[in-house]
Amino acid sequence: MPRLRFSSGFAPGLPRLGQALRLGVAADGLALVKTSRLFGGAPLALSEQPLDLFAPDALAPGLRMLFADLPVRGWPVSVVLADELVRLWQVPPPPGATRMGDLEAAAALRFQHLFGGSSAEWKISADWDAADPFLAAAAPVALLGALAAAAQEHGFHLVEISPQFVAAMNAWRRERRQGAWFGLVHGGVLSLAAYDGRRLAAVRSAPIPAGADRDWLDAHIAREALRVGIARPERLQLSGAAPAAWASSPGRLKFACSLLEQLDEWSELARLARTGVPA
Amino acid sequence: MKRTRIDFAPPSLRRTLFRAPPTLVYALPGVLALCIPALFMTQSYFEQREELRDLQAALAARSAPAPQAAPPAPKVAVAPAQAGAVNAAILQLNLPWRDLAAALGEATPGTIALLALEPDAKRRTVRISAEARSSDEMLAYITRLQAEEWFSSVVLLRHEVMEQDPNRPLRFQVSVQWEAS
Repeated sequence: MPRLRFSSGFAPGLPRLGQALRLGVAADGLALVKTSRLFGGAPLALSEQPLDLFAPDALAPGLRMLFADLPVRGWPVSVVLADELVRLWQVPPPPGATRMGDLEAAAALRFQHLFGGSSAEWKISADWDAADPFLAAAAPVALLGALAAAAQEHGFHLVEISPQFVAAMNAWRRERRQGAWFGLVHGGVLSLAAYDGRRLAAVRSAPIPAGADRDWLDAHIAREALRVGIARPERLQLSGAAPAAWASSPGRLKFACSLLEQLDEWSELARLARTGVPA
Repeated sequence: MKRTRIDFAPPSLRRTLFRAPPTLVYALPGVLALCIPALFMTQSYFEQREELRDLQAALAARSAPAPQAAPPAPKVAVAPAQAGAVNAAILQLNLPWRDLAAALGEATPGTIALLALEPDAKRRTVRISAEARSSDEMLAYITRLQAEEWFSSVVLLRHEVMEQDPNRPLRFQVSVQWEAS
Protein backbone atom coordinates (compact mmCIF):
# COMPACT_ATOMS: atom_id res chain seq x y z
CA MET A 1 0.00 0.00 0.00
CA PRO A 2 1.30 3.49 -0.73
CA ARG A 3 2.76 5.66 1.97
CA LEU A 4 1.70 9.28 2.03
CA ARG A 5 4.22 11.99 2.80
CA PHE A 6 3.01 15.44 3.72
CA SER A 7 6.15 17.19 4.66
CA SER A 8 9.69 16.80 3.55
CA GLY A 9 10.96 19.39 6.01
CA PHE A 10 11.78 16.89 8.72
CA ALA A 11 15.46 16.29 8.88
CA PRO A 12 16.88 17.00 12.35
CA GLY A 13 18.74 14.14 13.94
CA LEU A 14 17.64 14.96 17.47
CA PRO A 15 14.55 16.73 18.77
CA ARG A 16 14.86 20.33 19.83
CA LEU A 17 13.55 21.39 23.23
CA GLY A 18 9.81 20.88 23.50
CA GLN A 19 9.46 19.00 20.24
CA ALA A 20 7.84 15.59 20.13
CA LEU A 21 6.21 13.14 17.77
CA ARG A 22 2.67 11.83 17.97
CA LEU A 23 1.84 8.46 16.51
CA GLY A 24 -1.79 7.70 15.73
CA VAL A 25 -2.67 4.00 15.69
CA ALA A 26 -6.03 3.07 14.17
CA ALA A 27 -7.42 -0.21 12.88
CA ASP A 28 -6.90 0.94 9.29
CA GLY A 29 -3.61 2.80 9.44
CA LEU A 30 -0.88 4.74 11.17
CA ALA A 31 -0.03 8.44 11.12
CA LEU A 32 2.88 10.50 12.41
CA VAL A 33 2.66 14.14 13.48
CA LYS A 34 5.37 16.45 14.82
CA THR A 35 4.44 18.86 17.60
CA SER A 36 6.22 21.67 19.37
CA ARG A 37 5.10 22.42 22.91
CA LEU A 38 7.30 25.34 23.81
CA PHE A 39 7.15 28.03 21.19
CA GLY A 40 3.64 27.58 19.89
CA GLY A 41 4.58 25.82 16.67
CA ALA A 42 1.66 24.34 14.74
CA PRO A 43 1.53 20.53 14.50
CA LEU A 44 2.97 19.16 11.29
CA ALA A 45 1.69 15.97 9.61
CA LEU A 46 4.69 13.90 8.55
CA SER A 47 3.43 10.66 7.03
CA GLU A 48 0.66 8.10 6.92
CA GLN A 49 0.67 4.37 6.40
CA PRO A 50 -2.57 2.50 5.65
CA LEU A 51 -2.66 -1.06 7.00
CA ASP A 52 -4.98 -3.68 8.44
CA LEU A 53 -4.07 -3.78 12.13
CA PHE A 54 -6.11 -6.90 12.77
CA ALA A 55 -3.91 -8.95 10.45
CA PRO A 56 -1.38 -10.91 12.52
CA ASP A 57 1.90 -9.05 13.10
CA ALA A 58 0.85 -6.10 10.98
CA LEU A 59 2.11 -3.34 13.27
CA ALA A 60 5.88 -3.93 13.10
CA PRO A 61 6.22 -3.85 9.28
CA GLY A 62 3.72 -0.99 9.14
CA LEU A 63 5.82 1.09 11.54
CA ARG A 64 8.96 0.19 9.61
CA MET A 65 7.37 1.57 6.43
CA LEU A 66 6.06 4.62 8.29
CA PHE A 67 9.47 5.45 9.74
CA ALA A 68 11.39 4.72 6.51
CA ASP A 69 13.79 7.66 5.94
CA LEU A 70 12.37 9.47 9.02
CA PRO A 71 15.03 9.76 11.73
CA VAL A 72 12.95 9.04 14.84
CA ARG A 73 15.84 7.76 16.99
CA GLY A 74 15.92 9.64 20.30
CA TRP A 75 12.56 11.37 19.82
CA PRO A 76 9.84 11.27 22.47
CA VAL A 77 6.76 9.66 20.93
CA SER A 78 3.20 9.92 22.26
CA VAL A 79 0.90 7.23 20.95
CA VAL A 80 -2.80 7.90 20.44
CA LEU A 81 -4.85 4.71 20.20
CA ALA A 82 -8.06 4.97 18.24
CA ASP A 83 -11.12 4.30 20.35
CA GLU A 84 -12.05 1.20 18.36
CA LEU A 85 -8.83 -0.46 19.62
CA VAL A 86 -9.43 0.22 23.29
CA ARG A 87 -12.27 -0.17 25.74
CA LEU A 88 -13.46 2.71 27.88
CA TRP A 89 -15.82 2.45 30.80
CA GLN A 90 -16.87 4.16 33.99
CA VAL A 91 -16.17 2.53 37.35
CA PRO A 92 -17.95 3.49 40.57
CA PRO A 93 -15.51 2.90 43.45
CA PRO A 94 -16.67 0.19 45.87
CA PRO A 95 -18.02 1.66 49.12
CA GLY A 96 -15.40 1.54 51.84
CA ALA A 97 -12.53 1.00 49.45
CA THR A 98 -9.33 1.34 51.45
CA ARG A 99 -6.62 0.09 49.13
CA MET A 100 -5.57 0.43 45.53
CA GLY A 101 -6.30 -3.28 45.12
CA ASP A 102 -10.00 -2.63 45.84
CA LEU A 103 -10.22 -0.13 42.98
CA GLU A 104 -8.32 -2.42 40.61
CA ALA A 105 -10.61 -5.32 41.46
CA ALA A 106 -13.68 -3.13 40.93
CA ALA A 107 -12.38 -2.02 37.52
CA ALA A 108 -11.60 -5.61 36.47
CA LEU A 109 -15.01 -6.85 37.65
CA ARG A 110 -16.82 -4.12 35.75
CA PHE A 111 -14.73 -4.88 32.66
CA GLN A 112 -15.86 -8.51 32.79
CA HIS A 113 -19.44 -7.49 33.39
CA LEU A 114 -19.54 -5.01 30.49
CA PHE A 115 -17.41 -6.71 27.84
CA GLY A 116 -17.36 -10.37 28.94
CA GLY A 117 -14.34 -12.59 28.89
CA SER A 118 -11.21 -12.38 30.95
CA SER A 119 -9.18 -9.22 31.35
CA ALA A 120 -5.92 -11.20 31.09
CA GLU A 121 -5.26 -10.07 27.51
CA TRP A 122 -5.96 -6.44 28.36
CA LYS A 123 -4.00 -3.94 30.35
CA ILE A 124 -6.18 -1.70 32.48
CA SER A 125 -5.25 1.87 33.29
CA ALA A 126 -7.58 4.27 35.04
CA ASP A 127 -7.87 7.70 36.57
CA TRP A 128 -8.11 6.07 40.02
CA ASP A 129 -10.39 7.81 42.47
CA ALA A 130 -11.59 6.32 45.76
CA ALA A 131 -14.46 8.78 46.25
CA ASP A 132 -16.03 9.49 42.84
CA PRO A 133 -16.74 7.35 39.79
CA PHE A 134 -13.74 7.35 37.51
CA LEU A 135 -12.87 6.58 33.91
CA ALA A 136 -11.01 3.34 33.13
CA ALA A 137 -9.49 2.17 29.87
CA ALA A 138 -8.13 -1.16 28.67
CA ALA A 139 -5.72 -1.71 25.79
CA PRO A 140 -4.70 -5.07 24.30
CA VAL A 141 -1.47 -6.37 25.85
CA ALA A 142 -0.29 -7.58 22.42
CA LEU A 143 -0.62 -4.08 20.93
CA LEU A 144 1.27 -2.48 23.83
CA GLY A 145 3.97 -5.14 23.54
CA ALA A 146 4.32 -4.49 19.81
CA LEU A 147 4.65 -0.74 20.46
CA ALA A 148 7.33 -1.31 23.11
CA ALA A 149 9.21 -3.61 20.73
CA ALA A 150 8.98 -0.99 17.97
CA ALA A 151 10.33 1.66 20.37
CA GLN A 152 13.30 -0.59 21.05
CA GLU A 153 13.84 -1.33 17.36
CA HIS A 154 13.65 2.27 16.14
CA GLY A 155 15.21 3.84 19.25
CA PHE A 156 12.46 6.27 20.14
CA HIS A 157 11.07 6.86 23.66
CA LEU A 158 7.47 5.95 24.45
CA VAL A 159 6.40 8.80 26.71
CA GLU A 160 2.63 8.40 26.51
CA ILE A 161 0.11 5.87 25.25
CA SER A 162 -3.47 7.00 25.67
CA PRO A 163 -6.83 6.40 24.03
CA GLN A 164 -7.95 9.13 21.66
CA PHE A 165 -10.93 10.06 23.83
CA VAL A 166 -8.71 10.52 26.91
CA ALA A 167 -6.21 12.53 24.86
CA ALA A 168 -9.02 14.81 23.68
CA MET A 169 -10.40 15.22 27.22
CA ASN A 170 -6.97 16.24 28.48
CA ALA A 171 -6.26 18.54 25.56
CA TRP A 172 -9.45 20.49 26.13
CA ARG A 173 -9.50 20.30 29.91
CA ARG A 174 -8.98 24.05 30.30
CA GLU A 175 -11.98 24.82 28.11
CA ARG A 176 -14.26 22.28 29.69
CA ARG A 177 -16.97 23.51 32.04
CA GLN A 178 -18.19 21.89 35.22
CA GLY A 179 -21.29 19.75 34.51
CA ALA A 180 -20.95 19.97 30.73
CA TRP A 181 -20.89 16.75 28.75
CA PHE A 182 -17.82 16.18 26.63
CA GLY A 183 -17.89 14.54 23.21
CA LEU A 184 -15.47 13.48 20.52
CA VAL A 185 -16.43 13.06 16.89
CA HIS A 186 -14.05 10.86 14.96
CA GLY A 187 -14.50 8.46 12.08
CA GLY A 188 -18.28 8.79 12.07
CA VAL A 189 -18.54 7.86 15.76
CA LEU A 190 -19.69 10.14 18.56
CA SER A 191 -18.14 9.28 21.93
CA LEU A 192 -19.67 10.95 24.96
CA ALA A 193 -18.63 11.41 28.56
CA ALA A 194 -21.84 12.07 30.47
CA TYR A 195 -21.48 14.04 33.69
CA ASP A 196 -23.92 14.42 36.55
CA GLY A 197 -22.67 17.62 38.12
CA ARG A 198 -18.95 16.93 38.59
CA ARG A 199 -19.34 13.15 38.76
CA LEU A 200 -18.65 11.08 35.66
CA ALA A 201 -21.82 9.10 35.00
CA ALA A 202 -21.04 7.12 31.85
CA VAL A 203 -18.95 6.87 28.71
CA ARG A 204 -20.86 5.91 25.58
CA SER A 205 -20.20 5.69 21.85
CA ALA A 206 -22.65 5.69 18.95
CA PRO A 207 -22.27 5.80 15.18
CA ILE A 208 -23.45 9.03 13.54
CA PRO A 209 -25.94 8.31 10.75
CA ALA A 210 -25.43 10.01 7.40
CA GLY A 211 -26.92 13.49 7.31
CA ALA A 212 -27.28 13.74 11.08
CA ASP A 213 -28.33 17.28 12.01
CA ARG A 214 -28.90 19.19 15.21
CA ASP A 215 -32.26 17.48 15.75
CA TRP A 216 -30.59 14.09 15.70
CA LEU A 217 -28.05 15.35 18.23
CA ASP A 218 -30.80 16.67 20.51
CA ALA A 219 -32.63 13.35 20.35
CA HIS A 220 -29.46 11.37 20.86
CA ILE A 221 -28.43 13.37 23.92
CA ALA A 222 -31.93 13.05 25.39
CA ARG A 223 -31.85 9.29 24.77
CA GLU A 224 -28.43 8.88 26.37
CA ALA A 225 -29.46 10.93 29.40
CA LEU A 226 -32.49 8.69 29.85
CA ARG A 227 -30.41 5.57 29.43
CA VAL A 228 -27.86 6.66 32.01
CA GLY A 229 -30.57 7.98 34.29
CA ILE A 230 -29.43 11.55 34.71
CA ALA A 231 -30.72 14.95 33.68
CA ARG A 232 -30.06 16.32 30.21
CA PRO A 233 -26.95 18.51 30.19
CA GLU A 234 -27.07 22.26 29.88
CA ARG A 235 -24.03 22.27 27.72
CA LEU A 236 -22.30 19.84 25.39
CA GLN A 237 -18.71 20.47 24.32
CA LEU A 238 -17.62 18.64 21.20
CA SER A 239 -14.11 18.15 19.90
CA GLY A 240 -13.07 16.55 16.65
CA ALA A 241 -14.67 16.83 13.24
CA ALA A 242 -18.19 17.70 14.33
CA PRO A 243 -20.54 19.17 11.71
CA ALA A 244 -20.77 22.92 12.00
CA ALA A 245 -24.60 22.64 11.95
CA TRP A 246 -24.50 21.11 15.45
CA ALA A 247 -23.33 24.34 17.02
CA SER A 248 -25.98 26.15 19.03
CA SER A 249 -28.35 28.30 17.09
CA PRO A 250 -30.41 30.94 18.92
CA GLY A 251 -33.75 29.45 17.84
CA ARG A 252 -33.84 26.24 19.84
CA LEU A 253 -31.95 26.01 23.05
CA LYS A 254 -32.55 22.63 24.67
CA PHE A 255 -28.88 22.69 25.51
CA ALA A 256 -25.90 24.65 24.33
CA CYS A 257 -23.49 22.86 22.05
CA SER A 258 -20.07 24.34 21.50
CA LEU A 259 -17.63 23.01 18.96
CA LEU A 260 -14.08 23.17 20.24
CA GLU A 261 -12.52 22.51 16.84
CA GLN A 262 -13.18 23.61 13.31
CA LEU A 263 -13.19 21.28 10.35
CA ASP A 264 -9.96 21.44 8.39
CA GLU A 265 -8.26 19.56 5.60
CA TRP A 266 -6.42 17.12 7.86
CA SER A 267 -7.05 13.47 7.08
CA GLU A 268 -8.78 11.16 9.55
CA LEU A 269 -5.53 9.38 10.50
CA ALA A 270 -3.50 12.57 10.91
CA ARG A 271 -6.33 14.04 12.97
CA LEU A 272 -6.16 10.97 15.22
CA ALA A 273 -2.43 11.45 15.74
CA ARG A 274 -2.96 15.16 16.38
CA THR A 275 -5.60 14.56 19.08
CA GLY A 276 -4.24 15.70 22.42
CA VAL A 277 -2.21 18.60 21.15
CA PRO A 278 -3.35 21.51 23.31
CA ALA A 279 -5.06 24.16 21.26
CA MET B 1 -11.27 20.26 34.78
CA LYS B 2 -8.49 18.11 36.14
CA ARG B 3 -6.37 15.90 33.99
CA THR B 4 -7.50 12.32 33.34
CA ARG B 5 -4.45 10.23 34.16
CA ILE B 6 -4.77 7.27 31.84
CA ASP B 7 -1.51 6.21 30.29
CA PHE B 8 -0.31 2.81 29.12
CA ALA B 9 3.30 3.88 28.53
CA PRO B 10 5.89 2.05 30.66
CA PRO B 11 7.34 4.32 33.36
CA SER B 12 10.69 5.88 32.49
CA LEU B 13 12.76 9.01 33.12
CA ARG B 14 11.92 10.31 29.66
CA ARG B 15 8.21 9.98 30.42
CA THR B 16 8.58 11.89 33.69
CA LEU B 17 10.49 14.69 31.96
CA PHE B 18 7.91 14.78 29.18
CA ARG B 19 5.07 15.07 31.70
CA ALA B 20 6.69 18.00 33.47
CA PRO B 21 4.88 21.17 32.42
CA PRO B 22 6.79 22.98 29.64
CA THR B 23 6.48 26.27 31.53
CA LEU B 24 9.12 24.90 33.92
CA VAL B 25 11.62 25.92 31.24
CA TYR B 26 10.89 29.54 32.13
CA ALA B 27 11.94 28.82 35.72
CA LEU B 28 15.36 27.68 34.49
CA PRO B 29 16.98 31.17 34.45
CA GLY B 30 15.76 31.73 38.00
CA VAL B 31 17.28 28.45 39.14
CA LEU B 32 20.56 29.31 37.40
CA ALA B 33 20.53 32.78 38.98
CA LEU B 34 20.19 31.15 42.39
CA CYS B 35 23.04 28.82 41.56
CA ILE B 36 25.59 31.59 40.97
CA PRO B 37 25.60 32.99 44.55
CA ALA B 38 25.53 29.42 45.83
CA LEU B 39 28.66 28.72 43.80
CA PHE B 40 30.46 31.75 45.26
CA MET B 41 29.36 30.88 48.78
CA THR B 42 30.62 27.32 48.37
CA GLN B 43 33.96 28.58 47.11
CA SER B 44 34.38 31.03 50.00
CA TYR B 45 33.36 28.29 52.43
CA PHE B 46 36.11 26.04 51.15
CA GLU B 47 38.65 28.87 51.29
CA GLN B 48 37.68 29.68 54.86
CA ARG B 49 37.91 26.06 55.82
CA GLU B 50 41.42 25.86 54.40
CA GLU B 51 42.44 29.04 56.27
CA LEU B 52 41.06 27.63 59.49
CA ARG B 53 42.98 24.42 58.99
CA ASP B 54 46.22 26.36 58.38
CA LEU B 55 45.55 28.48 61.46
CA GLN B 56 44.91 25.46 63.61
CA ALA B 57 48.09 23.82 62.33
CA ALA B 58 50.11 26.98 63.12
CA LEU B 59 48.54 27.22 66.58
CA ALA B 60 49.26 23.60 67.31
CA ALA B 61 52.85 24.04 66.18
CA ARG B 62 53.27 27.06 68.47
CA SER B 63 51.70 25.57 71.59
CA ALA B 64 53.34 22.18 71.34
CA PRO B 65 56.58 21.76 73.48
CA ALA B 66 59.85 21.63 71.59
CA PRO B 67 60.63 18.07 70.71
CA GLN B 68 63.40 16.61 72.95
CA ALA B 69 66.00 14.22 71.69
CA ALA B 70 65.71 10.86 73.37
CA PRO B 71 68.51 10.53 76.02
CA PRO B 72 71.21 8.13 74.90
CA ALA B 73 71.24 4.83 76.68
CA PRO B 74 73.83 4.96 79.51
CA LYS B 75 76.80 2.73 79.03
CA VAL B 76 77.01 0.14 81.71
CA ALA B 77 80.31 -1.42 82.58
CA VAL B 78 79.97 -5.13 83.18
CA ALA B 79 82.47 -6.92 85.41
CA PRO B 80 83.98 -10.14 83.96
CA ALA B 81 82.56 -12.19 86.82
CA GLN B 82 79.10 -10.77 86.25
CA ALA B 83 79.36 -11.43 82.51
CA GLY B 84 80.38 -14.99 83.22
CA ALA B 85 77.40 -15.47 85.51
CA VAL B 86 75.05 -14.07 82.92
CA ASN B 87 76.50 -16.28 80.22
CA ALA B 88 76.20 -19.29 82.50
CA ALA B 89 72.60 -18.45 83.21
CA ILE B 90 71.94 -18.11 79.50
CA LEU B 91 73.60 -21.44 78.84
CA GLN B 92 71.48 -22.98 81.56
CA LEU B 93 68.38 -21.50 80.01
CA ASN B 94 69.41 -22.77 76.61
CA LEU B 95 69.84 -26.30 77.90
CA PRO B 96 68.33 -28.72 75.37
CA TRP B 97 65.95 -30.17 77.89
CA ARG B 98 63.69 -31.72 75.35
CA ASP B 99 66.44 -33.68 73.57
CA LEU B 100 67.97 -34.73 76.89
CA ALA B 101 64.70 -35.99 78.26
CA ALA B 102 63.93 -37.83 75.04
CA ALA B 103 67.33 -39.55 74.95
CA LEU B 104 67.14 -40.53 78.61
CA GLY B 105 63.60 -41.77 78.31
CA GLU B 106 64.61 -43.90 75.37
CA ALA B 107 67.60 -45.40 77.19
CA THR B 108 66.02 -46.00 80.61
CA PRO B 109 64.30 -49.39 81.01
CA GLY B 110 61.55 -49.99 83.56
CA THR B 111 63.91 -51.76 85.96
CA ILE B 112 65.96 -48.60 86.57
CA ALA B 113 64.60 -45.94 88.92
CA LEU B 114 65.87 -42.47 88.13
CA LEU B 115 66.43 -40.51 91.36
CA ALA B 116 68.00 -37.24 90.22
CA LEU B 117 69.27 -35.41 87.16
CA GLU B 118 71.86 -32.68 87.66
CA PRO B 119 72.67 -31.04 84.34
CA ASP B 120 75.75 -28.85 83.95
CA ALA B 121 75.29 -26.72 80.88
CA LYS B 122 78.79 -25.33 80.89
CA ARG B 123 80.40 -28.69 80.54
CA ARG B 124 77.48 -30.23 78.69
CA THR B 125 77.23 -33.05 81.23
CA VAL B 126 74.45 -34.44 83.29
CA ARG B 127 74.87 -36.40 86.48
CA ILE B 128 72.29 -39.15 86.79
CA SER B 129 71.51 -40.73 90.16
CA ALA B 130 69.58 -43.98 89.85
CA GLU B 131 68.83 -47.25 91.58
CA ALA B 132 68.89 -50.74 90.13
CA ARG B 133 68.04 -54.11 91.57
CA SER B 134 71.39 -55.67 90.65
CA SER B 135 74.74 -54.76 89.17
CA ASP B 136 73.85 -56.57 85.96
CA GLU B 137 70.96 -54.24 85.39
CA MET B 138 73.17 -51.27 86.16
CA LEU B 139 75.78 -52.39 83.66
CA ALA B 140 73.14 -53.07 81.04
CA TYR B 141 71.81 -49.57 81.62
CA ILE B 142 75.25 -48.03 81.17
CA THR B 143 75.72 -50.01 77.98
CA ARG B 144 72.44 -48.72 76.66
CA LEU B 145 73.40 -45.15 77.51
CA GLN B 146 76.66 -45.60 75.63
CA ALA B 147 74.78 -46.93 72.63
CA GLU B 148 72.67 -43.75 72.56
CA GLU B 149 73.93 -41.45 69.78
CA TRP B 150 73.25 -38.25 71.59
CA PHE B 151 75.71 -38.98 74.44
CA SER B 152 79.42 -38.87 73.67
CA SER B 153 80.77 -40.36 76.92
CA VAL B 154 79.24 -42.21 79.83
CA VAL B 155 81.24 -42.65 83.08
CA LEU B 156 80.14 -44.53 86.16
CA LEU B 157 81.17 -42.30 89.08
CA ARG B 158 80.26 -44.47 92.06
CA HIS B 159 77.89 -47.15 93.21
CA GLU B 160 76.84 -48.69 96.54
CA VAL B 161 74.34 -51.18 97.87
CA MET B 162 71.77 -49.62 100.17
CA GLU B 163 71.99 -51.95 103.11
CA GLN B 164 69.36 -50.28 105.23
CA ASP B 165 66.76 -50.85 102.53
CA PRO B 166 65.14 -54.32 102.83
CA ASN B 167 65.24 -54.72 99.01
CA ARG B 168 68.96 -53.94 98.97
CA PRO B 169 68.92 -51.81 95.79
CA LEU B 170 72.09 -50.74 94.04
CA ARG B 171 72.38 -46.96 94.01
CA PHE B 172 74.78 -45.51 91.47
CA GLN B 173 75.78 -42.23 89.82
CA VAL B 174 76.63 -41.88 86.13
CA SER B 175 78.09 -38.78 84.44
CA VAL B 176 76.97 -38.42 80.87
CA GLN B 177 78.29 -35.87 78.37
CA TRP B 178 76.27 -34.88 75.34
CA GLU B 179 77.51 -33.70 72.04
CA ALA B 180 77.30 -30.08 71.14
CA SER B 181 74.54 -29.67 68.60
